[in-house]
Amino acid sequence: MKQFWPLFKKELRTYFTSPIFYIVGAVFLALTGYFFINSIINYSRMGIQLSGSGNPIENFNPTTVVMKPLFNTMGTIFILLTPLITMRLMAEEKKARTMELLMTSPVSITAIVAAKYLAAWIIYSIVILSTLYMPFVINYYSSVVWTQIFTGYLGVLLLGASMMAVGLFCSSLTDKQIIAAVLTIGILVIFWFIGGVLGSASEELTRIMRGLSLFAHFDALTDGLFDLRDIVYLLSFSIVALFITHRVIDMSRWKG
Amino acid sequence: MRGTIQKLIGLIGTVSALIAIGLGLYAPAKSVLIGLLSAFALLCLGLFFFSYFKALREFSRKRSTQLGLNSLLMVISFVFIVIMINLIVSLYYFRYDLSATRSFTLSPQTENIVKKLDRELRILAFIQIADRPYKNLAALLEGYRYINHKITYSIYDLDSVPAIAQRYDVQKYNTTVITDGDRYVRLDGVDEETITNGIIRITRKETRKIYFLQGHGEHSIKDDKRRGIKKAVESLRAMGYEVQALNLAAVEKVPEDASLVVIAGPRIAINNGEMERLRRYAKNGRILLLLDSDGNRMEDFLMGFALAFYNGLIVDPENNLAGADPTVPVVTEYPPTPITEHFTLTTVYPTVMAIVKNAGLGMWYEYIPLVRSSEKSWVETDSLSMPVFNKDRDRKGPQNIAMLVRVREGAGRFVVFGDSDFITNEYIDISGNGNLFRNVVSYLVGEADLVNTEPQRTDYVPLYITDTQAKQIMYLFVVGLPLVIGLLGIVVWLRRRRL
Repeated sequence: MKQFWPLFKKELRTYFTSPIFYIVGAVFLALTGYFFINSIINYSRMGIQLSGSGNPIENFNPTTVVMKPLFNTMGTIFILLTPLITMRLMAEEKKARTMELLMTSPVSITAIVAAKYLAAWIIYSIVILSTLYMPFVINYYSSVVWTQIFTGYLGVLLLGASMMAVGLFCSSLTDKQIIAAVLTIGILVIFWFIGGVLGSASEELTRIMRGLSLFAHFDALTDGLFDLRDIVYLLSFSIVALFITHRVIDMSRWKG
Repeated sequence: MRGTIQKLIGLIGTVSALIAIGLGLYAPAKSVLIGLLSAFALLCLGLFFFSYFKALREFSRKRSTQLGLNSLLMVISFVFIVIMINLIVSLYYFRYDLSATRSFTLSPQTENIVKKLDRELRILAFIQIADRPYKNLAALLEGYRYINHKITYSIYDLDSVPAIAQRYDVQKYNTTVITDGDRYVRLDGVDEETITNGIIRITRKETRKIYFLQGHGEHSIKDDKRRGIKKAVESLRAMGYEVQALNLAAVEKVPEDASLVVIAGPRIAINNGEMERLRRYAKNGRILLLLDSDGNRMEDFLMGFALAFYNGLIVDPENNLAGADPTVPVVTEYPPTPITEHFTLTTVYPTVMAIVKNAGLGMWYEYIPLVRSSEKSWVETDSLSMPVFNKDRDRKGPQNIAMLVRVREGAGRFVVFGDSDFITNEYIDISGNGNLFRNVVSYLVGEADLVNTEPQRTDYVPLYITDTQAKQIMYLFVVGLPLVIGLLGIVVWLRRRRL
């Protein structure tokens, strides 16, 4: 813990003093904000149209129709934004030759990995939680079901934990940030769409693919289903990626 | 020696893990065995991992050879450990429906029924695979499995599994099959109500008995030739019904355990004693009458219910079976009755009579037409080889091919068809003939204990915003917030440049 704190604080400081955090935040909030305002205007119009149709309107509420798709949009946008947060974590240290300093210092690899990972995840969480105004705005004009909002944000945060772990892993593989970024997007896209083999594969394979899919587990949480299996899977995904990162760094110590 | 034991533990752990994964995929109902195997594998792999990792760290301080291979081994064993944890969690987990629509919560009736299950059931759902229907169906079936792990399920794309579909005689999308060992029930629909009712039917302790009247030249339930109805009978047995022949001359009354009596195409007269027994049974019992123009039309029996047949056969020059003459009408649309409400398959009737209700009579009964011929059809009373509509003699369509009769003050119900050939081995597999026959039987058997579940619904939640309010939100959050953060970024960037 003694080794972890200074590193963690240094990483966080680096984020706050570099423009990248602000760029990611601004771009993300502008995009999600645009989708948000469009969604509530559409919801408002659809409500008027449906009321006028005379048919009973069921299961039509802002939590399901506005917030749920917004959670999915947040996840999709972060497939592209994750590398901006993570690509420099290890690659920059390697490029600047400060990795050797770190490796020869008394700081353990576990502390290095944990500090960089947690700092990235905190940054991600700050950006994500800055969208919390959305449910409050809806609740001001109408009402939201806070339990589903809770599972939705939990899903986005756990998804972010997995995404940051993949980003850190990719960054540990190379000293070139652009390669780390492309690799991160590639892996995330694969694990995002892997459940989409429906119909083209056998029933067992479909089940395995959906089981491996980041999206399928995240999607269940944004639907309002608090399922231990989804939470454990998303955490497991992060832990495996972090463990592999640990091994990669350990190996690189000896390979030079 | 220590290293060998370590490796042996790792190997045993890996093998156990692989078996557990295989069982999880192909025999998920064996949850206790899978759980035990997973826990054992987890223990072995955990022991291996921590003891070996310690040795590896000591080893790696000395030399870097073989480090890559050992790291790979560590990663593999770690991944297996994580898989085992996930496998155990997939067996023993909790979930809460916190959704706004409560769409993951099954009805209390379903929960009660599924909780009581004491044997393994497998639910096979055949759909046209697309992301949204698959997801919704998987969530529904997962709900069943959550309540009772003895339930396992598979979701198939009907077009991708012809062999499995053929085994259960599944011919259209959105069909559910529930299997209990060798027995199975096939159901139209993939919703909660259908599946729960299917579970009730297949797990029912006492088997519902269906008697087929014999002894008057009826179609034989054992005959597998063209005129026989063995296929139809076998399909009823596959649905979980017990089917027996009934000789009314040898008994004093219709057996008490009869859920349904089927009279399929009698050729000769039914004697008075037997007829009386049938009449008595009809007050509170269930009868399916399938009668032919060239056989015993049971006119005396039907007259008691104010029903009769028109003389002649229904002909339909436009809607008939390709290659056959107009006396084989086909039906593609059905009235919205309890039996045919969601029925969309085509049915074919070789030489069928039209059923008519005698006006002014039958106030004790309720009459519901089930199957009707098309507008273009008529009842031909002259030449069947060259039928021409004669408005003076013939009866214009649509005409009743099948009618459901319900006793108003009693449990009695019967369905009469103006044809029996459509369920013979020759015709039962043509389009929806078999499906309609089974639907009629299911209804008549009176699945009174089946549940009626409504999907969870929530009310509409209004959200109206004015143009001004939309603009306020946009300027404040969509433009303002990102702008402030962007400006902060520029300030940070400028400050860094100065340093």
